[in-house]
Amino acid sequence: MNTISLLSQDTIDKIAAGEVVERPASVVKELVENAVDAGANAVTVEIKDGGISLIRITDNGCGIPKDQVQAAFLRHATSKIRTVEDLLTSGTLGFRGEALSSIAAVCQVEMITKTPGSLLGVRYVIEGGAEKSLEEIGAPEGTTFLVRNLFYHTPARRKFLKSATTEAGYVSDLMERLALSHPNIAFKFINNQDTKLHTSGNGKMKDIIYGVYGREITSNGGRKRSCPHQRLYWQAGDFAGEPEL
Amino acid sequence: MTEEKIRELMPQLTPMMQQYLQTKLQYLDCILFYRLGDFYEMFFDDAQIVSKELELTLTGKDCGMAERAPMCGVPYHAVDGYLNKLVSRGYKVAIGEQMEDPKLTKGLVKREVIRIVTPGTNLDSQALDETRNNYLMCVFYMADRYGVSIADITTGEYLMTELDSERKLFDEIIKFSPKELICNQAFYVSGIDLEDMRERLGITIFSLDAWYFDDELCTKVLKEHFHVSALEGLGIADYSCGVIAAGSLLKYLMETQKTSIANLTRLVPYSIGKYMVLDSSTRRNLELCETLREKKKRGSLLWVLDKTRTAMGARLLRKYVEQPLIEKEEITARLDAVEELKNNAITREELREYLNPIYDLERLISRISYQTANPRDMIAFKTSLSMLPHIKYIMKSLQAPLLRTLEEQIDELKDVHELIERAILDEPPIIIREGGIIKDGYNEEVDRLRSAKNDGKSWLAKLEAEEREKTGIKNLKVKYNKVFGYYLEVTNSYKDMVPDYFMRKQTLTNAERYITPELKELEDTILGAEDRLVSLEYALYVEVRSQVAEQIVRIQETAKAIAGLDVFASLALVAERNNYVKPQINERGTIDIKNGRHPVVEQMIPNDMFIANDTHLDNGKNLVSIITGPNMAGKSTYMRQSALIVLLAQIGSFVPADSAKIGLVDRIFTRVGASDDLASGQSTFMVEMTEVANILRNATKNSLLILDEIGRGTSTFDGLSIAWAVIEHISNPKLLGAKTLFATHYHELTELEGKLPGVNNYCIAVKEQGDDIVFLRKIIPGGADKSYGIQVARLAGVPASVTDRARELAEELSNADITVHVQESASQTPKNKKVRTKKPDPVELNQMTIFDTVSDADVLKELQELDVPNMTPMDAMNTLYRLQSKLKNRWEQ
Repeated sequence: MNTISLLSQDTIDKIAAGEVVERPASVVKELVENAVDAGANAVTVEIKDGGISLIRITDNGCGIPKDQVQAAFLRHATSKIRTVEDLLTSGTLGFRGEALSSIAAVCQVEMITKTPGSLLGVRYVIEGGAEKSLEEIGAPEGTTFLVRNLFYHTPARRKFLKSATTEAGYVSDLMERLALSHPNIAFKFINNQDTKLHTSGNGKMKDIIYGVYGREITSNGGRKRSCPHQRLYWQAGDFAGEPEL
Repeated sequence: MTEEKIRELMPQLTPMMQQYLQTKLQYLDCILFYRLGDFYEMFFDDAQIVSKELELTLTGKDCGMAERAPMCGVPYHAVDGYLNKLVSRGYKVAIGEQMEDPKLTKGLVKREVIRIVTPGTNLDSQALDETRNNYLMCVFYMADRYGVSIADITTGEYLMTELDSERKLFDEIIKFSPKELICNQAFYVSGIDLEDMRERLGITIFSLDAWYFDDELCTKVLKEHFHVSALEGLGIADYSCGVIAAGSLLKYLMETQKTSIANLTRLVPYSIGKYMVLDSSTRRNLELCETLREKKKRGSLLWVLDKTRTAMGARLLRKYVEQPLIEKEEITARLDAVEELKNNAITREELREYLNPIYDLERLISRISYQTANPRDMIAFKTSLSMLPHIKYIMKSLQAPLLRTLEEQIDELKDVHELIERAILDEPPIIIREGGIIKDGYNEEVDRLRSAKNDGKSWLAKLEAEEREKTGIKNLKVKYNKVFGYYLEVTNSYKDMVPDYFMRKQTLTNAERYITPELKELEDTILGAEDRLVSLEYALYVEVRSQVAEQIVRIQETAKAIAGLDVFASLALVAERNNYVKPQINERGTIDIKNGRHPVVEQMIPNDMFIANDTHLDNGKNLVSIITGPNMAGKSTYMRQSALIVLLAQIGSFVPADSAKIGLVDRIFTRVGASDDLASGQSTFMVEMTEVANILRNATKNSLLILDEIGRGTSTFDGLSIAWAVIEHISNPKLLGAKTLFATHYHELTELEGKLPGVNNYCIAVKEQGDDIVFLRKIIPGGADKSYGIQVARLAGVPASVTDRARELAEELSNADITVHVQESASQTPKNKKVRTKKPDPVELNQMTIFDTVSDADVLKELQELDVPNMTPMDAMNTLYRLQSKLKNRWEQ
């Protein structure tokens, strides 16, 4: 009979990671929410092979100071709350301190980040939870994540992913929802070198809807009504669309 | 073939040959395409040339002489391709057509030259790039003044100006890049390198006979063409040389096209003082419309900006990029238009949707007015016109003054649209002489003839049925062929039942063919109707075409407005997509860019990794920025981006930056790169000095100078001294005082900060990691203390043995350091009246390393190798400080 024993930390991390990271779209969601919390007003998401081989998220937010880079990837470490009470007043999307460590546990992650004050940026590479390098380089302000080869060393999980096209579809749907729920952020979504979505982030809801759905919807269905729309994420949008939406 | 030779040969030749040579005599400077039947033929020298250029077989023709005349030919239906090829190689081609129907003429068919095709007057759309104009330029040179006129016969553009220096003329020539340049003899022999112009720039130059440039003739030509009694009416009376250039150009066009040039409806005089001056090397170096290396559009500024939907818009955008403005109001007007379209994405995208189906109106209307447009062209024209009401309607909601002006300028041309809609079938053929063009209901006669033709078919069926009844021949058929026309066909089994009034025409194995008088009468009606229909349709088509051609002025105005809208929409789209901001224009000469980016490089770098930099220049304390640091680190990109951002702002476009205050600049000069002009016998240094001379002589205090590595092509001392003297000159407001970005590998020049007013040091940040360097691509204040040349060499892959030895030598040489001498010279600069200010420290980037690879052993080794007896006290202090910093930083994590 098998005995009951505590799992190794590595195993714990990987299993826990699985709850946060299910598929490429989960990685995108986590990292984009981080970008939003960082105060970015422009976020670019690029994927290849549905996000399985590469996900790139670039934002122009506040970046991570070099002395906090390693800490960011620790479990339960976060800049967004300090105590439980903070949850009540939290204005950020993230707070559990789980995302980065989970992603790093199951992918090959390269992060390049620079804060406005410093001259140098930092490039940090961590794969499967193991730190590979940390160096200073030239970089633009903000943060870029290059997440490669999701589930590269957990083949069972990798098998559970759908086809690249389907996964890309999930990411695409997610991007639409994110763009609509953050009209002040300019979103760009690139799938296999094709720019699929590009919103202006100018805050005008009509323009954002147009950017996501195109001309027809806006001219037919873009009338302002005062009912919330379930498909929109945080803020209740006050546009109701025709059934085709 | 010379005139004498021709006259010599004449008597011996056949009549046809004589006729050919008579014509050839009038066109000795052209290749004569002589129509003979289904071919265009060339003889004698022409044949030799054409056979070589077009790779055609050279044959011969009997002409009355002992030996056959060399001959070469192309089929008439494929002539366009051959024509374009010859013309693009710089030849003039005269087209000699048969003027009579050979079937009807006895003796020699009359032949005349109907058209001369030259590189600058080629109307064939297949030969033209729709995003570029095809310019013909005329230069009239007299007494140190140049009259210049430029025209594009395919779009109707017609310009004129006067210049007073050869340099300015060359800049204009480069700017317009005409395919053909005609000039008077004086200019032709004035020393321009014709071969060079042909090879390098693709410009063919022809000199015209003196009579073209007769003052009275030119004036007369212009007055007649524009229907005015005096040139004052055109506003061009003051341009004495310009008028001659414009008149002779027009005359040349009339001589080559042999028609009146209906689509040049306006002559627009302009002055180069209205635009920013960009010399040809600046246009090349900044890669405005094509890249430096491959001369392609992709990778140029135009490539980034061009999201136009129409050919006219593409051409106009190119013009905007080539001619930035210098007046604040005009620039602001453009910026406001772009801003409105940027902020109203939906409106803008709707407009762009309606712009998309619009064809090249300018070139279409030219073809219509030259009577070369076919029915499909007319339909393309109509489709384009149908977009106009939508565009005008949407534009009514726009408020920016320039956009309002454009909206008013758009004429919906509903009458023209209606005319074409009523007259021409929706899917007509290309050929105009075979009918099938005119719609039903447009013309009574056409309708009648059509029904005659169609009814004819049913009449034939009726006749067939009747004859079957009458004769009892059940399988009697009415058929048609080109030889007999309509006939009745009866199989042999029924041969005996054939009545008398059947006239036998043809016997076949199994059948007999007959005609009857009734059948033939019907045939005449039907075929007659067909012929009459075809010629009537042709005549009507030509009439519709001329009616449209009469509206040319309205159409050209509308086309210009559409082009303008397209350009603003394109600039707005790019501003939104690429995250540009609206520049603030000032007339104080202050340039302040925060987080500026290079518009092209940022698009080409993967993963959005372009690193932004600030630029600050003004006419006071920040006049000259001396930028030091290693090559490949980004100095050139930084300087180019600063120039491009200013240029973009003055085009009226938004700019890639977080914010930008742009002080208006009258000229941008660039001296970048070492291009050995070996072909023209000038060394790099000579070329460079020529450029520098040009800059120093022609720059003003409102100019922006981009100088990269001056003094590189000669010895270190000479080069350094020249660079130094140049900076002294530029930074002196009494001598020049122009804003300058000066990149140099002479880090000795950093001594000038504080000695000369307005000079500041910057360097491109680089970090050393052991033996390697990492480029940070940030511009920071201060001078670089080393040039890192050796590290760059290592990075580039030069073998370690070479770089190690280089490092040894560098250390030895640095002990006989010119830096020391330079410091001494600097402090004795006679112009220096200021108190010697404290020299700012070179930036100690070592302090920023967090993973320091310095070990005890390294420091001890250095200490051991110091040459203490030969060190100055200053050196000793610096060395101590440096060694101590290294040790300190290591322990402070």
